[in-house]
Amino acid sequence: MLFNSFEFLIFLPLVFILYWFAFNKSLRLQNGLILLVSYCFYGWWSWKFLGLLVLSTLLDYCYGFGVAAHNKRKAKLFLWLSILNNLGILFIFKYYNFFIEQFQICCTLIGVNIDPLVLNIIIPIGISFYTFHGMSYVFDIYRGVQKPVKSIIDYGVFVSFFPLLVAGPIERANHLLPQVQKERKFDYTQARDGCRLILWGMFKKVVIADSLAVIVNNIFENYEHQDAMVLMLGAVAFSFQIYGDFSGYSDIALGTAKLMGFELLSNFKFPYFSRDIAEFWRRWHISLSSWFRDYLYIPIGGSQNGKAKAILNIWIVFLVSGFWHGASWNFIVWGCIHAVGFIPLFIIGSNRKHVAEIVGFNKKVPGIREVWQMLATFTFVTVAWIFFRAKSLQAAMDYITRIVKNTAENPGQFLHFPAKGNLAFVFIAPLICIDWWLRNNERQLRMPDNIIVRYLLYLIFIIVTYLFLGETATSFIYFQF
Amino acid sequence: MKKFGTKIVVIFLPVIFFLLVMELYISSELAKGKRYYLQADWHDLRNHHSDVLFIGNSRMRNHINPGIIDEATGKKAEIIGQDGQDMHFMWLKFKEYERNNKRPEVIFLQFDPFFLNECKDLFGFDNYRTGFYMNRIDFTSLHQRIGYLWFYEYLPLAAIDIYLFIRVLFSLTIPADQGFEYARGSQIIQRKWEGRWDVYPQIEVKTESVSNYLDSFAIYCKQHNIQLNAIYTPQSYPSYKEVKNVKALGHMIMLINRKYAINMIFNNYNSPQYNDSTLFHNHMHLNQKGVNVFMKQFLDSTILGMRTIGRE
Repeated sequence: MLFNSFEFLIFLPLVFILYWFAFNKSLRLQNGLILLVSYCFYGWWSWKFLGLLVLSTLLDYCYGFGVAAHNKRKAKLFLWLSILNNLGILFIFKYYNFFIEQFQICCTLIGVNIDPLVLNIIIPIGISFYTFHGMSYVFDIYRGVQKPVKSIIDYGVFVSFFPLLVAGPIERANHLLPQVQKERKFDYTQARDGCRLILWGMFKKVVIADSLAVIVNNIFENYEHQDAMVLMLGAVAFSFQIYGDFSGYSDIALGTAKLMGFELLSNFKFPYFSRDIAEFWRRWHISLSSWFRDYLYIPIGGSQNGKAKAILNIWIVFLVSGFWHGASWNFIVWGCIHAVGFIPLFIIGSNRKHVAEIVGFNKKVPGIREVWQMLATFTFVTVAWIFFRAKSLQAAMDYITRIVKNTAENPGQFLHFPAKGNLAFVFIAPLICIDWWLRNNERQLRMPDNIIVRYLLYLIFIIVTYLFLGETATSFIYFQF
Repeated sequence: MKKFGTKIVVIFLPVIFFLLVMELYISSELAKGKRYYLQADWHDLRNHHSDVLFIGNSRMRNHINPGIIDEATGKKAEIIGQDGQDMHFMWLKFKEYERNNKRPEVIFLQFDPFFLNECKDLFGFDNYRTGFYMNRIDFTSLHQRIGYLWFYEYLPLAAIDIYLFIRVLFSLTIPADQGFEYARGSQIIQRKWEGRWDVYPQIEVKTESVSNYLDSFAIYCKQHNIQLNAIYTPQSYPSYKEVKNVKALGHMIMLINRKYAINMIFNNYNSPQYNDSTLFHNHMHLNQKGVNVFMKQFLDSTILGMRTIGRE
């Protein structure tokens, strides 16, 4: 089920009513309901793959007890079993075909022709997210920061909680599980903030991202016929599309969870206001970057064993991060580009320069130097996005070459932006302005104090989103990961 | 909770009120007979009274020039088609046409794998989104029409494309040369070849579904003495060569003819002459030059009477 579908418009109020009015007698009932509706939410897409989710949940639940054993060797064995189990699922569904293709290419290069078995399967939605949930849970038990959960329902809710099931945020056991196990009371402020986040997220997804998608698809599919200006426009449009799409999804997830009395981890903190790449990664897809930091970078040594080893570790993290997004060379190159942007900052020791405060904190407008820094970071990120969006590595290289050389075949041909795309550009400026207005707290949308203005804003956002919703409900970009 | 519920109601009541006002406004505009988006104007499928009817998707709309047929035969021709649609959807649209017009003498069905494909979600919201210009605020009659589920008695504003909404709001009606009186459902592509020969992946034709579709038309046409024909309009020859189930199409027609003792003709107009890319806008659609070539071929092979010379 998609957040931006009509099914969800019915599903959410129904779940809300059941949750707070019919199942509010006990915590166990509420958690049972959440688990049930989460499976319905997932099963709406595919009942077949629901089995995989349940199996993955059961295995990690059991491994959790094994890892908690006092015997260190036994604990380590179960930790590795969990890692192998989760990465194995990921490998089969997401990476097997990629590796087998590369193997075939290598064999062909040395003159050996093989006909390997290629799996004709689709990637289950959310597989990268729920496997990471399971791994982090077992890992945390191994590290002693989490105790195994006795109730399978509670653990099931942690893995399958429907707002975060298919595209995150990737939660931590020690953050979400205590909330699952604690009695929840309806809180007006929390619910109000949740509704605001849902509305804002819907607007970003339905109005901005989906409209920009029309332009982006048109340009990226016919890039060989476009001149440099149009290609640059396509890349910039994609930067805003993916931001609107993914941060919109995250806002809806956070807002929906708030309605149920949960607080999820933030995933975005206005990443396009970053002054360098290091800051960008502290603001973009935060739950993933912090996951890699805690469960990959630090376990492989982090920055504890000298600068050279730390640089190698950073490379590994960015490489894996790219590969996590998709089994394709363009995602790997995308990760490497970000590593190239990050490592110089790390070497000169300025990668933690902008940790504390967002740009223009306590100021109305940013300084000229900050504007330049933000523009430079945005440009860098946008170039990298070309690799993310292009169909292949070759297409991405070609796209960039054509920007540089400005060589279009039959320039302008096929470039027919429907009105929808043009309107999307109109909304980019308000998006930037609203983000700037909200930049001090991404979890609580500040609204004007004047009640009339506030209600008018609600009306405008609801009506505009509703009208744009008439288009086909398009999937979120991050569902494919 | 009470405060929260009250606020939700307070916010959504004006939204509902606003949308209802817009609904009434749009309905009143449509009642004036204005046209905003021809191919989706279901409400406009009335009082056409054509003699020859072509039914299909863009491969019919972009390929047939009714004016040429009028001129050559003295019969009034018309296309009821909708871009990207399939046989199931068009059967419903035909039934809507049939309710409001005199019966045609001849029907040409598009008969190729790009139209005979399975509709994944016939009663899905998206398919009916394009039916926006049916009678709106029609709480009573739509459910009586064949094919409609109760859910679609009323199409909310959200079912429409925002840009069509804007068109209505600002009275941006379609230009006269795209209106029915002039174009009669046809939309010839004026653009040149787009520069590449993409080949669609093989599309599976589900025999059972196609048989049901043909059954519907065969029974209807036999009952009302309408001559039924099927045509496979040209696609780029390289892409046509990739289509594997052409013979199966002919076989299905043969079975239908035998089953109902009718003489339905299937003409396939694909030939090596469509190797010429200048005749096409893209691999699936002819341009103006291509339409002229095809219409000549069509008229040569088919005399609207309808005696058919070439057949496959």
